[in-house]
Amino acid sequence: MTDKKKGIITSVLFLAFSIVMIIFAKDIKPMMENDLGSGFFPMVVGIAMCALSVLRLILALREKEKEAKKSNDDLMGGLGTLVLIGGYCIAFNPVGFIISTIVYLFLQILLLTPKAKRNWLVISIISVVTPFAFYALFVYLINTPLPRGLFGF
Amino acid sequence: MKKFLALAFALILVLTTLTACGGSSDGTKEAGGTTWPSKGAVTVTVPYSAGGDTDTYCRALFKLVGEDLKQNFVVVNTTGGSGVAASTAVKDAKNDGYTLLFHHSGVMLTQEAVGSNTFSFLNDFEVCATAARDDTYMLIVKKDAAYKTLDDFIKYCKDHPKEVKYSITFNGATHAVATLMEQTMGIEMNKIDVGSSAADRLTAFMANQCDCLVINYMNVKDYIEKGDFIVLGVCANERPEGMKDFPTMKEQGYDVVQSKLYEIRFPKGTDAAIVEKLSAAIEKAAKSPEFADTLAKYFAQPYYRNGADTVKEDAAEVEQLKKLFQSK
Amino acid sequence: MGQISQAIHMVLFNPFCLLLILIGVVIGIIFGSIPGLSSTMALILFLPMSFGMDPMNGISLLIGLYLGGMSGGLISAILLKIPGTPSSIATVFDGGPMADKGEAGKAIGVGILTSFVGGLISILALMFISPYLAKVTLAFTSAEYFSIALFALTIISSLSGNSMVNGILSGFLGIALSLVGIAPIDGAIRFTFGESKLYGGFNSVVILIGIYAVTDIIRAGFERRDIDKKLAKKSYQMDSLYGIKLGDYLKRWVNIIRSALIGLSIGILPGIGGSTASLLAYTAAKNSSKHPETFGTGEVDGLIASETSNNAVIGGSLIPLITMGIPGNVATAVFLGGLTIHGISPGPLVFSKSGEYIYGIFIALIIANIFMLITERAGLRTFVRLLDIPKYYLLPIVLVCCIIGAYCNKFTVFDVYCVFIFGLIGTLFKFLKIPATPLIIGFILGNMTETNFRQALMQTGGSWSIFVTRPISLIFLLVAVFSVAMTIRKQIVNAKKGKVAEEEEEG
Repeated sequence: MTDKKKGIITSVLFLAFSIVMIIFAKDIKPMMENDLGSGFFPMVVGIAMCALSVLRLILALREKEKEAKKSNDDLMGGLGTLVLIGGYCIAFNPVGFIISTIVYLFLQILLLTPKAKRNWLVISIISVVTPFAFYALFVYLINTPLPRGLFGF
Repeated sequence: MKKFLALAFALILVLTTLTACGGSSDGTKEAGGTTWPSKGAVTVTVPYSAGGDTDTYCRALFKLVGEDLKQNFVVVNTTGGSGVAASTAVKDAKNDGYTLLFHHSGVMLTQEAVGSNTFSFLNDFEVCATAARDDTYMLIVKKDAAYKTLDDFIKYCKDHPKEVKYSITFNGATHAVATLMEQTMGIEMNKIDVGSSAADRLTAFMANQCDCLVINYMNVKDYIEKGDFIVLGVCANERPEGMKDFPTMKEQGYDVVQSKLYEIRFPKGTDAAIVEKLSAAIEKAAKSPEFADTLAKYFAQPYYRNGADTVKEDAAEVEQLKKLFQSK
Repeated sequence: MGQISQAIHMVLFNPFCLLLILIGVVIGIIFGSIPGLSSTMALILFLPMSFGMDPMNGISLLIGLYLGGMSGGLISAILLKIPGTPSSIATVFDGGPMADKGEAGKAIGVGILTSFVGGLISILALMFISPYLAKVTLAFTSAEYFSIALFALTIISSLSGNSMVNGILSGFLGIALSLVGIAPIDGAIRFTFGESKLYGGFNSVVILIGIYAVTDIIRAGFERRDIDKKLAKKSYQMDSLYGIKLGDYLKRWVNIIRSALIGLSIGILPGIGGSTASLLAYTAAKNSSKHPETFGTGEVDGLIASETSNNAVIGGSLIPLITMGIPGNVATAVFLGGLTIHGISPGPLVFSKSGEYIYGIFIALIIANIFMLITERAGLRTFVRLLDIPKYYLLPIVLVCCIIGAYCNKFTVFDVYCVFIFGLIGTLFKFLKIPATPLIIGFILGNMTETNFRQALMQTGGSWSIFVTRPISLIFLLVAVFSVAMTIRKQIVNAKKGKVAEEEEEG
């Protein structure tokens, strides 16, 4: 994607955000005497953001369309990581810290490790030892609870 | 590498046994009808930041309760909106007995009477108990102020309406005190926000951003002793222990009383057996000398009430406050 | 004199007390270095334990934790490029690139040394001139705080690199995020969209972790083909004990003193915090440098500015605490709790009532600072070894740390979800080439700006003139305007240069 297109996307996103902000800020009325109210500052920020994103749009439209460098991104690796972290966050509480972490670590390390370097034994050990070590450290040593989840630990 | 592997496996083995042991203590029904709190740590939400008086009382109380009930009670500080953020978080939490709120009546009952919240502290929670009380709120002014006594202060306020700057936290305990003062003394003050924490308000007071301050004795004790600040009146029914030198507002003829009663609440619908069990544990902790010692450092006292009494007395007070706010 | 010798007896000649300081420093360093955990968290955790100890021992433990935690942040900032706490954000700017260049050992060494120096300067200030400095606290009212916040926000423009508009937009988004939840002053509920979990607003650590750590690992996923690229191995060689020759270090005395003074003054003002101090010191160092273009590429001066100032905050923040009983941040509030429970009440009478403990605190601070210097240097080789662990093992483990850190803030999964969402925002920002640091600066300063603005206007009954009639406020506003003007001018000059270069290229 060219820088110009990125600039246009940026400005449109921020423009939309600032408009939503202004709409909501409009309805916040002052409650105390002598006070500007909690709507004033959001309004100022919203308007400033709105003006800047218009400026950004103008700058982007004036930009020359340059040949974009071919992206070297590995979509599978990136989106896979995204899905894994998302899944981990969702499973963290209901499934429990230990199990969700074992699964996450195993899959994430597998995803990131180049094929030639994959050592199943090491990956398995890391993904099992890490969560137990953290659990012991937090729960037993410093008395900080972590989600126990499905199986009571 | 081999060494590392061996070590790692040994570690796993030890840890698995540990967790297995930890988990197996579950599931024995007690006579009281609840195994709570065997499932894991209980989170106690405090609406103030760590290190302050409310936080200290809470930690001291639940350290004892935790030892008694053999479970870890973790204190979480959720600040914001004069306690509304913390209260809402507990109100909306799962009612399994593992989340509770430690909050004081000074703020709760004011908000209840003003009706500023979308929920009720009396009806939308399972009120468990009261553990402590603090009657050390006092009105202070600086030594170089134009008034040295409460009567002078009132006269000055009447001569200069809406001029004396009073540090208010909107919908907080100081809001209620301001209303009480204005009603009983027939004055009008300039109520401004100079911060919500005791530290912020004290700084602002010293920097002359406000002229009078209602604050806990502990925060200004040495300034009073040194003579920098003058006490005009304590917002208590009678002179509290350790503060016999200072007149109350009440004995000067103005019924301005603001006690902070520290109460414990569960989310609505929590098992009555759990509420009972904790209430009993709190009663035990509140009667221990250790708890009293901690409170004494802040000139507060242990004060136990069970859930039902707490609700009843709070409701009566809310009715009184309501009249006051409405008549304005 | 009696009090001082009593203090020496309680701390210096008490092996148990010394041991507690050491333990505190080590645990503090661990908490500070793990992303998501912080010195504040360590203090809160150990506070109840200190209640049960002898007063001086309990306080010494807390001091160790505070000092160790403040300096531990530099380790993850340099090695992982994740600021473990907001106050080490500016350390990432040059510490990170130094590690990339193979100078990780040097970066950490310099960081430790300069943390020590910053801490020491501020402790000496605390010991000898605190009554005078405390008065400064009272010269600053809401109007001044607003102007400082506004001035600090202008840092965004100079930290945005070559896309100033993007940077400022990012900063505004940060301010907007800080507005979510229950508003200051009147308690209005804003931008929560009916979600009560947002009432308390977002947590800065959650945003920090999301934007830095999660974004980082997602980027690593996109670039996994290159994940194994070896870092320059010579890396950890250090040409002297702390990676920098003493002469070379002292040569930078202007920067060191300036950064320490910035940290000290920000520390004295309650409620601003180490993150603002280090960002201001960094910007000051950059703007007064003869070669500002090297900043952000591994410039030792940038690292020195950041680490000196955030450790100088320590002594500064203790000044209003001890002389007036006013805690300026959560760490000092916890301290105050620890002192109160032992019957020591900081304030105007503290020296006459319990002076021996205050002198004890001074001694403990110096000892803790020395312990920090020694233990962190001793652990340096181990820290740097982190870089030997292949990234595909290290990054996932770091992520797990981060998630635990986010969870342990309030023990809610909601914060964990937020970390992920901010990770997504960070990734989108990377893709669109929007700098993310301004977002964090905006977030940290947003609340302070709004609250003080409204409070100042309440004072005057709505007259805006207060910001220009109070001299200190006016000065900060003028500096803010000047700094923006300078940056814009620089941008225009650069743009012209860029155009010429482009045309030459084409022609």
